[in-house]
Amino acid sequence: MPDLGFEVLLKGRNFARILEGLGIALRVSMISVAMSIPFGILLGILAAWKNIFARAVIRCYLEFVRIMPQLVLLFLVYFGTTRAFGWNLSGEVASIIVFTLWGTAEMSDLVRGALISIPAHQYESAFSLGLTKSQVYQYVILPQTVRRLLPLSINLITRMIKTTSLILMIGVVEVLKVAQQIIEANRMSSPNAAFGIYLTVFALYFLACWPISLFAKYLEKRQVC
Amino acid sequence: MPEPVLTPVLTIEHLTKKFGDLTVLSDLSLQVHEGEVIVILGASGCGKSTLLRCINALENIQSGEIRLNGEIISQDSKNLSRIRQQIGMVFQSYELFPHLSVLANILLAPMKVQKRSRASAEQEALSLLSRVGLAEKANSFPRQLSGGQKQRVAIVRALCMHPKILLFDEITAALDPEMVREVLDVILDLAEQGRTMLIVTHEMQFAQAVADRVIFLDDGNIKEQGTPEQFFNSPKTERAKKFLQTFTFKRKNIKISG
Repeated sequence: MPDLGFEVLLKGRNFARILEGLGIALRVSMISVAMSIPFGILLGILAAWKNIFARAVIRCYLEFVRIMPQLVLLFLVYFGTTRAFGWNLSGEVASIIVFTLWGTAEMSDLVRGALISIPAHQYESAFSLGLTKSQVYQYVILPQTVRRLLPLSINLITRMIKTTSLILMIGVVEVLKVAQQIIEANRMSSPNAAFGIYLTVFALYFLACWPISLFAKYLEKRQVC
Repeated sequence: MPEPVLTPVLTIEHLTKKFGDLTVLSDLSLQVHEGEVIVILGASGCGKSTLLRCINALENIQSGEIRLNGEIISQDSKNLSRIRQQIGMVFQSYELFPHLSVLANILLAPMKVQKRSRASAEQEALSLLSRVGLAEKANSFPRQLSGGQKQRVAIVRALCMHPKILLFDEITAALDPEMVREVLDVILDLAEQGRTMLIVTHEMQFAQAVADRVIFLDDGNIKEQGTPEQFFNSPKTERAKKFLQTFTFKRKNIKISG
């Protein structure tokens, strides 16, 4: 068996450091997810409204965030704001801002899509039973919207976790950066470490995202309608 | 069939409904009496469905008045929810709530709107379900039912609110032919019970059997009305004759080879 350099993991605090790096990646993504979901729901409801002005503004925002590569957004917020406004944002805060902006945009589009996919006759048959507007939403529209939304938004969460691998570019020492540091530090003693360490990182991302994506699949299968 | 008592449950006076510039109903007046079964006929686009939707305030109207037992029905009514509880409506498209079981579909409005106890509402729901032959489907979900079964559940859901009047909007139009019967039988049964009903349908034989009065709509108004015998056997207007002819088939030009 070729030497894959796994022994480097056991040196010093290397494995613990990788886990801490993963912790930072998960922290950034989870805080962003926690903010994106309520903001996205709010924006998605606004986007499903008939108000043309609100829809146009949200559409522009969505397209802008989607078209820009996340890396460019990270640079824009991290370096751009320092030059333009003199803000001294930490890499982690800048990452959370960018991921929240992006997650909110994507989430709002999912919410809008789920809302407009509920057919008009669902509203009408509920109204004709004498339900008030708030009862129609509470018992008929929202439960169906949430069911359609759950698997989609969980996929968005895994995408956000994976994309945190970009934040090392603005100096956040997350799991991939820690891996690079370990490989660099052991270049002489274990020149093969790159493979083993990156394989470990791969396994960790997999362990973080796989259960979430299994859960999404389960929800999709169980989905009513 | 019970003798209809002549008190108007529903009164429509000079109803006009427009979609933009298009006048769908113009100056239409109609009285529906307790226990009366009225079938509304007419070519597609004549405003039949719109009329039913106006009665349930699903459409706003431009002028005129609709009253249920004296109470005005309009989208601006403060107690719209209370008025709608008295009007049961079943639509063409299967509009059960897909995330709720059959029983939950039926119980939603009685429990949340009328605040009835689960026990009493459930007892009634189950007895109505067995009456339409679906007792064993109470815990099924709509996606597990056929179109005809869904429509029967929709009828039960409307009945469970104890409506004063029932509106049926082409409820068999989207069904496979072999399922039409099971749904129409339920409506015939309701007619036997003396329910007040307004039925829009394209099933002419059914219309003839169930109706106390046939109303023929054309150009947004009542062109002709009468008992089913009068209407189907000797229609008075040219328009109605032409309409009825579209349902009879005859071969023209049978060649006599010589």
